[in-house]
Amino acid sequence: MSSIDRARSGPQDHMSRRWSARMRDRAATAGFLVLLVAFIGLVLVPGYRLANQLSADTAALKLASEQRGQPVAIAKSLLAVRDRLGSRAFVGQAVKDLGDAVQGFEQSLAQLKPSAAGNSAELREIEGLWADYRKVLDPVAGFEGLPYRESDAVGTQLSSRGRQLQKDTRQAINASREATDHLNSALSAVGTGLEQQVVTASATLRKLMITGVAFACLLLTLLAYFQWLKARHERLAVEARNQTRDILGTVRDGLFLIDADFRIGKTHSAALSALFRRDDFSGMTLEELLRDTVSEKTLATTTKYVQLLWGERANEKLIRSINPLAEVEVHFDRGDGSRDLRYLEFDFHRVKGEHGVRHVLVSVNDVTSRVLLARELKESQAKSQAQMDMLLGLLQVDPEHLLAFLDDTSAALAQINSVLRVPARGDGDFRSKIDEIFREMHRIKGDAATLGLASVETRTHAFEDLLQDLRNRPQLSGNDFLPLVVSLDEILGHLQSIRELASRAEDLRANALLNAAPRVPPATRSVDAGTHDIAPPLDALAQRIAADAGKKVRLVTAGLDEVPGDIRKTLRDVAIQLVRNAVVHGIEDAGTRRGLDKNEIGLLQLQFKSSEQKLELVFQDDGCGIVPERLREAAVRRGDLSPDAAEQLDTKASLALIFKPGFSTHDGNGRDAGRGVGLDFVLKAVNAIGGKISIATAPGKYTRFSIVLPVHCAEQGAVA
Amino acid sequence: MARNAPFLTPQLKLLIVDDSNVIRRRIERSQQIEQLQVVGVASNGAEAIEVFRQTDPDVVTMDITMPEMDGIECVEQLVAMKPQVLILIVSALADKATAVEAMAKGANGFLNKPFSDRQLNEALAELIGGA
Repeated sequence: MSSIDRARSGPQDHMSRRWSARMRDRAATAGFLVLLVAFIGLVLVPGYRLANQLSADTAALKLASEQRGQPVAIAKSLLAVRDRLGSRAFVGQAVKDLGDAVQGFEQSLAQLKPSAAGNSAELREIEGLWADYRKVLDPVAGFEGLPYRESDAVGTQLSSRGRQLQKDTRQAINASREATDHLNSALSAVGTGLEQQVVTASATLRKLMITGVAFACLLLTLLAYFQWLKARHERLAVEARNQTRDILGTVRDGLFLIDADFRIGKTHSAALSALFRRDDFSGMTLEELLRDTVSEKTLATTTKYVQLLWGERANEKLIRSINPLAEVEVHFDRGDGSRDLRYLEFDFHRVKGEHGVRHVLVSVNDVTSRVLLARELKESQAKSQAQMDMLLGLLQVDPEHLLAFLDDTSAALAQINSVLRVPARGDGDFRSKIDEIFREMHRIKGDAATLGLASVETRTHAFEDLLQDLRNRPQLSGNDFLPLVVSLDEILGHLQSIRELASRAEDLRANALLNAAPRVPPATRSVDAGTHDIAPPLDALAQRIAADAGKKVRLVTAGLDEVPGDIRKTLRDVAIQLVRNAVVHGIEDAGTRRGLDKNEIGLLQLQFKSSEQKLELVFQDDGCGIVPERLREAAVRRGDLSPDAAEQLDTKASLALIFKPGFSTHDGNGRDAGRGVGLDFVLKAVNAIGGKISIATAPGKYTRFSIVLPVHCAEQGAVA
Repeated sequence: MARNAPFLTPQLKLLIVDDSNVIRRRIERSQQIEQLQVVGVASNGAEAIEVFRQTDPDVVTMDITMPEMDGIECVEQLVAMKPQVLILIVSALADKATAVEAMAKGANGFLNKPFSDRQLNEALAELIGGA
């Protein structure tokens, strides 16, 4: 648990650092906003108001100073009215001037009212004075019409209205003496008050301006800080981007992210392009990427597997072993029609965010060399195992049989080698070479099978395949034989390793027997060595071939002990081929035999009889017999005979077909199936020691081979 | 930490479901994870459901191929009964599709047979610690 905690503490620290950095940024932004609001609320708005006030006050001050002359002007207008009345002159203009002056003063007062002076005691005093003053001024200023009356007797006289005007004027003049002074001094006081206010407001404004400048400086500093922060983030982002690009460009894994829809992200490592032989992955889904390279089933399993990662239940580490793409075989078109086989390894990792899984990171590796290496290792292990098996197998083989086999086979291979070296002139020469080699190889195969040396049997069978291939070619040349030389060399090498293993096996056996009962020392090797008792190996061969073919057989032998030493090897080789031939071609499988009311175990009988006149080896099986018609058909099919020629053959001639090189009624090419070489070999071997073969057969019942040899045939020598 | 863990942490109850006696015994014997205590064994899915009801385990090791009811169906039922249960599939990986299917039914992890004692212990530790 603790290790898990430790492992988790890293990301948490990292997350808390990121969290505090984000908080710092947020605090700075909030501070900036608070400052801005404060700047607006404490500096800009009051400043604006103050400026407005100042401008109103200034206007009022100007007004007040202008009005200082008004009371005097009113008084002068009154005097002008009085003088005009006295001289009976025209008063209309003077009255109008008075009216204008009164009106002007009235308006100025109204304008002063809303200004800063509006509430001052001085203005209220002016208003009081003015109201009283107006009462006496209004009758004069509101006068209309003519104040005079014309008469011839006394000339121009004041009319009654004129007298009233004169009276009102005099009254007004009396009032003006006091009012003018009072008004003037009150106006002065108003002006002084306004002046005072303007001065104070200006001072306040100045302070505000200084505060504003300070605020602005602070804001500018903050702005500069933000700008720096932004630039720094950008620089870091660019740096990080460059580093990411470098990593993605260099890393050998194919890396990419997929989202919940399995869509491949915009960024991926450069190696991915090389792995999948394409550059553009944008908009692709994982399925589209894999569709042509893996099987439908694997694709479906992969989809489900990745869905597990998006879910919360499955433990990422504990499902890695069931990753369906842990090692996947993919094929790529090379472009020239051929396909390139690679092995890719996919790995999937959850990428978690604050709200669960955000992506799945997919990494892809080309593990072709690793896979091939593992395979090679496995093969070499299998080879070692096979060698060990072979060693154990060799322990089962009678050492004398084995040595005899190795010597015979080496000699036979030398013979084949010399046949290969003899120059050939034409197609016929080549084909007779092939036949000869085939016979030798087939005999080796039979011997190997008899001794249970499967590795040799397999190799000789492969060699026969090569020969069969040559036989089927219409034209042959010397170069066609080169693969044979290579294969022959390989068989020779293999025999050598068997020889070494055999000697080790012999050591093992010797050690194992040290404490065992004393054993008759092995007889000195002689020409007839390895042919002492040929019945057990023959039976083993019959059983093995039968088991391979799904058949059951029993071999009964008689008189084999009496075979003279000089022909034992030949007769053993002949018997091997006859047994093989009988089990493969003659004996029916158990089911067929039951159906035919035969014992399901096929009976093979091998008997050797000797008399004064002759030696006879009889081999008989109770199988299906030989049908001459089938042989003729096979000969026609193989092209050995024309249909017409086949028709001409009687039973005896038809039966003789089975001794033709390469003849077989079987088309298969299993290890034991018809190469058509066995009986060809038998005939040649028997002829070589001066013997004769006869066949007797009853279809469905039996086939019997009788080999008759003259009593003294050994001088003619055995076939090589 | 391992020695006194039982006194510090509550033990988790383990149910072993496998039709092989050998595997059952191996898990019982070799599990050295002290937070786990075997409370039951079952040899098939139906039996597992029964034992699960009786013992209410926290952790289950589960084979896939078993008679009566196979592991996949069993996983589905166990998760339905107790969503927070931790299930480790312990099975031979013949077919990855089947294994992935079992995981999709709600299992938490997969341990491939054959396994070593170390692999088993690591898987169990990861299961209860890293779930």
